[in-house]
Amino acid sequence: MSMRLREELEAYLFLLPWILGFLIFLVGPLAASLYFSLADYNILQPPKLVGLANYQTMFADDPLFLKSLRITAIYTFASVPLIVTLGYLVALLLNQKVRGLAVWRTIFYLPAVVSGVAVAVMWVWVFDPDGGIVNNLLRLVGIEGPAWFTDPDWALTTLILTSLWGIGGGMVVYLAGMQGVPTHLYEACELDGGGTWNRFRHVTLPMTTPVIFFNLLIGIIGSWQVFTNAFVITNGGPANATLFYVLFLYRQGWKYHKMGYASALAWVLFFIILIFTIVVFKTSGWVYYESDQADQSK
Amino acid sequence: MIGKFPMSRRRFLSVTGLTVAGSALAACVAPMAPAADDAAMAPEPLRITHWWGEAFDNAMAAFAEQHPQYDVANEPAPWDGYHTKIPTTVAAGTAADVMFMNAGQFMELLPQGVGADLTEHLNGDPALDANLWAIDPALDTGWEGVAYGLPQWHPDSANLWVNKDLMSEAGIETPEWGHDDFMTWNWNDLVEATVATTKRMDDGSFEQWGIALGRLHSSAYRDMVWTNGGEFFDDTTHERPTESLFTDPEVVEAFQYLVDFELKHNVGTRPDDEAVIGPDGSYLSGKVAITWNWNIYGVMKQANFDWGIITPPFQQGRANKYGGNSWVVNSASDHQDAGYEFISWAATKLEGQKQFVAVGTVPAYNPHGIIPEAESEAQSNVWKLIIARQEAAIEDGVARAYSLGPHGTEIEDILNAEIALIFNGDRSVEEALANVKAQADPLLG
Repeated sequence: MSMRLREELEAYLFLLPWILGFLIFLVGPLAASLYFSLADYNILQPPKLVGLANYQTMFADDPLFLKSLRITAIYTFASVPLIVTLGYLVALLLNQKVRGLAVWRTIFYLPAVVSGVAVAVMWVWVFDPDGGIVNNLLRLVGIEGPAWFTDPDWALTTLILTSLWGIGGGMVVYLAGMQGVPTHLYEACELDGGGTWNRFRHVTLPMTTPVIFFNLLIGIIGSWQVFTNAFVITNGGPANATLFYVLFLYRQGWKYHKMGYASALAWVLFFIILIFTIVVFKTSGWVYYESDQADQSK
Repeated sequence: MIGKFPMSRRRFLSVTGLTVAGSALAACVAPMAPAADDAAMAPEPLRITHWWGEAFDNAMAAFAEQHPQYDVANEPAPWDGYHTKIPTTVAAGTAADVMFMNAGQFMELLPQGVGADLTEHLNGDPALDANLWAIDPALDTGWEGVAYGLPQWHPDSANLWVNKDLMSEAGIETPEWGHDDFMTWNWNDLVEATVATTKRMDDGSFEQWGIALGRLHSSAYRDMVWTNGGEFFDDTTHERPTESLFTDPEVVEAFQYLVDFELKHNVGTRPDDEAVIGPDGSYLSGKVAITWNWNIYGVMKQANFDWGIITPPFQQGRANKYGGNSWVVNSASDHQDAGYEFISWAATKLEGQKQFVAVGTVPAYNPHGIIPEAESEAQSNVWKLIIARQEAAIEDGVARAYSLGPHGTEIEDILNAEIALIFNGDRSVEEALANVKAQADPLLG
């Protein structure tokens, strides 16, 4: 056996655990869910192939499918810009040279590592109409706050507000991006007479657009998969006002045992996310790639 | 000059694309059911699962001690996820030999062949007297006339738990067990009692509520529909309905009656009231005259006021449900005889019944036999009311399946969503129930 062949075999041997895991735990379930999406399957009886009937039901006969799509889309278009913007602003603040910076960074990042269920329970108390801190603060200025989670007109808005709790995760990525901006660019800007605003506008912002782009994309994908808060706090209610797509999918599969229909929903979700991803990539001309510029200047 | 670690467009898009693809694909992967315990060992293994946690520990230990021929594995699982655990473990072939199920679960799972047919066991059990069941197990935990399980507790619906101090203060008599009006008090009487016991502050906020209804307790609307002569489906067993009857006048009237406590009479607690203190808590606070709830005798023992229990008000018939928490032997189990011995001990033998009555209510089998075991007169009166109510419902022919059928879970979700819109002012009762019917009927037949 030649040395080269031996090395190749060894490489594949070391790769084997990952390859097996990928095939068994990812490709296998994916193929199974694609098959189930074309079947009437309730877990307890063998799946019966029904062609595209699950997809037809979804688009033609299930008003909750469209409702869950609408609710999730609203959440995506409202929460993602908020999270991306606020996360960026907080990162800008934490990128300053101030006393106790490490402590502040830790505090802002801490929510990202706290259990989602524990946080959800906390929100129930924070937004409680009678004893919650939010309405008590509003009462101090003469405003009677709404029933945040139990009023169908407010429940989705409240969940969007609670999503801001997670800005710490994106903030850390922004911070890393900001600290990777070469200092000579700031020096050049200052030499040209640029102040704080110009340093941000012409150096920090363009140099961190790849990070913004990354957080935007991950944020969109995550928002289409939102589940925990809606499941724990409102369970989709009141009156399905917070029936997010994945919660709807979960109900179909695990509560009503319509696993074939749930699988079809999962594949539709995959394509929705794929479309959003393609659109975001296609419109990413605003992202600045430093090495591309360097290549052009050679 | 470029940065220390320049990122090209190609490299950046590659990394981002891989991350995105991984995240998106991961959305399509569902968690798997846990693996089962290892294979059998002597003495004969017997795995029992339920959602009652430590509450059943004593009962399981007592059975194991009295039956050393079995190696009893008590496998409680949290209620959250229990509904998922049963079908997934059955599908995986790892389900317990005996499974505790509620009315909704067995109505959805028994048609799929999950439970073992107990007919031979029941017919061959010389210790059993079929006349002593509060209701035939073939109805209570059955499917199409076959018993697939044994009910642990009597099929008691929710009843009205009353703060007698507040009732007396308002000049209202409490029609408890033994009162002349015990079985005849009606809808108007309940409205009168709740209005009389409601107190408000000058600013209109509540000082004291007439009733805590949990915004239409699932048992409350069933009781009201049935006692008003209504039905939910064209099949009263709820096993194979082809059409729902939510728009029938008797059904609409019953829902309207319940909704009016909050929207018309303004005497009921709101979800926001109950979100903080809970229906039980609001009652224990002494600020609610009547709570519509399951058997909360254990909670009531903490009350620092004089309390009582009364039946829901009657209209045309004395209605009640059947179908409750029951033991089912896994049809795929290799230990079905052992499983039957356990469920028979738990549900029909006094030593087993006494273990479970400590955490629940009257046994389903020979309920009168447990009365001397009551720890107090108050508990005895609760039990007597529960038994009397079911006997009256059977006499009036208005004992009905609690579960709303094989699609009951989905139909209840539809119903709850529409009910929320009624209370929000977006729907009338008629409109809401018409919507329920429109969404429920395609699921039937």
